Amino acid sequence: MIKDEIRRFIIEKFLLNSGDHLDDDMSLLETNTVDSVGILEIVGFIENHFNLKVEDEELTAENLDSINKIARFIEKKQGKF
Amino acid sequence: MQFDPVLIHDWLTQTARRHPDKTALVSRGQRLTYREIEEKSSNLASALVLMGFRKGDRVLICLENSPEAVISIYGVLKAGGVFAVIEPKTPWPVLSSIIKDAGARILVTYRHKLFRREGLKEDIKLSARRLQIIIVDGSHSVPHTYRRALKFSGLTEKLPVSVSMPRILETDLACLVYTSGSTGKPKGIMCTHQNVVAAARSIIQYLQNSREDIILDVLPLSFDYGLYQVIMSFMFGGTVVLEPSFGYIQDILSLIEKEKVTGFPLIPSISALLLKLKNFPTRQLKSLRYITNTGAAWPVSHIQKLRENLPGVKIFSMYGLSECKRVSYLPPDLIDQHPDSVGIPMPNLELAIVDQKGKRVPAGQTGELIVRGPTVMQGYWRDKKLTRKVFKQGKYAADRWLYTGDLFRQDEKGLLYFVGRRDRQIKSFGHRVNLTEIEKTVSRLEAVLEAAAVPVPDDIGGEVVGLFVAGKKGTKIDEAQVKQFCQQNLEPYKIPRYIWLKDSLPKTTNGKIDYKELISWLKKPDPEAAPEKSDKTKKKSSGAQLVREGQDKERSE
Repeated sequence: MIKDEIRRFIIEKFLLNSGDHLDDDMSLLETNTVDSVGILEIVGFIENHFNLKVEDEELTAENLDSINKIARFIEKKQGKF
Repeated sequence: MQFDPVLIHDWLTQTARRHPDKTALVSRGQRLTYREIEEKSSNLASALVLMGFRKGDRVLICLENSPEAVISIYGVLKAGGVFAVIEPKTPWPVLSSIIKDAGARILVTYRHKLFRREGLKEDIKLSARRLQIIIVDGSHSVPHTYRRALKFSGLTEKLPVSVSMPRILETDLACLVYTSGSTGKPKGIMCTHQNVVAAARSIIQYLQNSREDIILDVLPLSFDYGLYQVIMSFMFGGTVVLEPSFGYIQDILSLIEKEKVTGFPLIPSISALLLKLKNFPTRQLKSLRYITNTGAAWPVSHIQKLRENLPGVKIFSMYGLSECKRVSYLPPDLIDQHPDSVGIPMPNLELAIVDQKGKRVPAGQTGELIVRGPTVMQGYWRDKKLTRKVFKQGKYAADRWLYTGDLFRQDEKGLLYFVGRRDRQIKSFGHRVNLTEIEKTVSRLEAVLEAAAVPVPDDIGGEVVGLFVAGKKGTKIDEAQVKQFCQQNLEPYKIPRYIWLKDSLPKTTNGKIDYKELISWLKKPDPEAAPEKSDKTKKKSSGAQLVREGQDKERSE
């Protein structure tokens, strides 16, 4: 599942398995899970892992600010919607 | 005849009287007029005084950039208090040490901050007993562990009684700006109303701000650069668009376009992100009048690319330190010829570059920068020893030089160039980080024998922390353990990006850690050449690789 892969990446990379709770709907920025650099790392992950190109215009909270939003964004990019 | 106000909050009152319906603040989806901020902050001040708040009491405002943070700042000032804005990401042990150091009477923060696991430790509960907590967000009930907590919204309502406010002088303390020191204990920089107003006036003067200006502020209010955007704008009657962070770049660019932002203060990490976009967002930035940079040295390549893409925008390269707010700025018409200079002293400030005996050095030679003037702090809060160390007293109280610890040179034209630091301080994402502090913190871990922190070049952060750790014999230590301990005890920007575990660290002939050797390890094409524990080879090579990439990049620019 796309969602599981994103969750695993975020937990390993930013939470270091610290046990901090992160729901799939929680804002990554407001929970201080990532900062603007972390966002770019997520974008890099999306581009490499899912072989997609993320455009400048797509760097928005709407697309990237929670595990669910990222999953929906990837699915949309993959043309599943 | 009417004189200019001398107190920070009296400038707000004056602007609110002149332009009550003008938008003062756009923040997190809210728009607040000058009248609203003036009234809410006055109501908060009255409530504080009624609660027994006394002149000079300290208030920690542990909030993100938001209307509540701005109202708190002005409310505390009106009540005669001293505020300190603390980044909400600050871990509890650090926050707790600041509460104790400041002798804080009040903490303004979020519910979730109080509920965090590590927030419930005994020592914090103890300090919380003496501490009035004010919660800004949400739900009706107060956290059960903090029964005396009050709700912010209730305190900003108009009171039916009139309250007599304390008499405040421009020489009274207005704020403490907390910054990291070498001991691991944060230091509070003491600023009076006069310090702040003097600095704000000088900066407004050289930026030529006017009421037409709309400033985007994505820098935290805990950082003086972010804080002064609000203070200055309320003095010249502009509008501040205040966001908690640079966050999602496209959302911020849309905001700039929508609000027709004219002034964009940034740090090199932000210009790095802008320049990383596939297409530079010229169209979205077309309302800009000026861009400023301070907080860390601005790579010349950033300046040049911004000049190419935004030829009509004035680019101000500036330099300062929280102890005196700002030191210098480069007049924008000099930036193409001297992009590596941070310019000339700002108005109302004198500087000199001196050798180790305190004698001025000739043009072109490197020495320590010293400054004097009304913007220089009063000293470090409750730390007379450190205060004495950084000042050289002249003939009368205000005649004193601040020793900045920054190494500078000045050319024949008088232009200033930053050379480096005297101590082990680096700049990461615009924040001061003292490498000694990181080492001291990590050494508290039981299994750590010794730790050595080194600066690692970084594309966006400028420099980030790399940490070499040697464990005690017979103990087990792994990277996750060190990292987790850092996350619990250090602010996010201080957390080492790279951790390398070693059997032992190299020493100089004096038996001290050999940092030159460690830094040379980072640059080795074959990172395996350095002795190392076997289980962590992957991480290390990525660090070394990153350094190499950084260097290649530098060379190519």
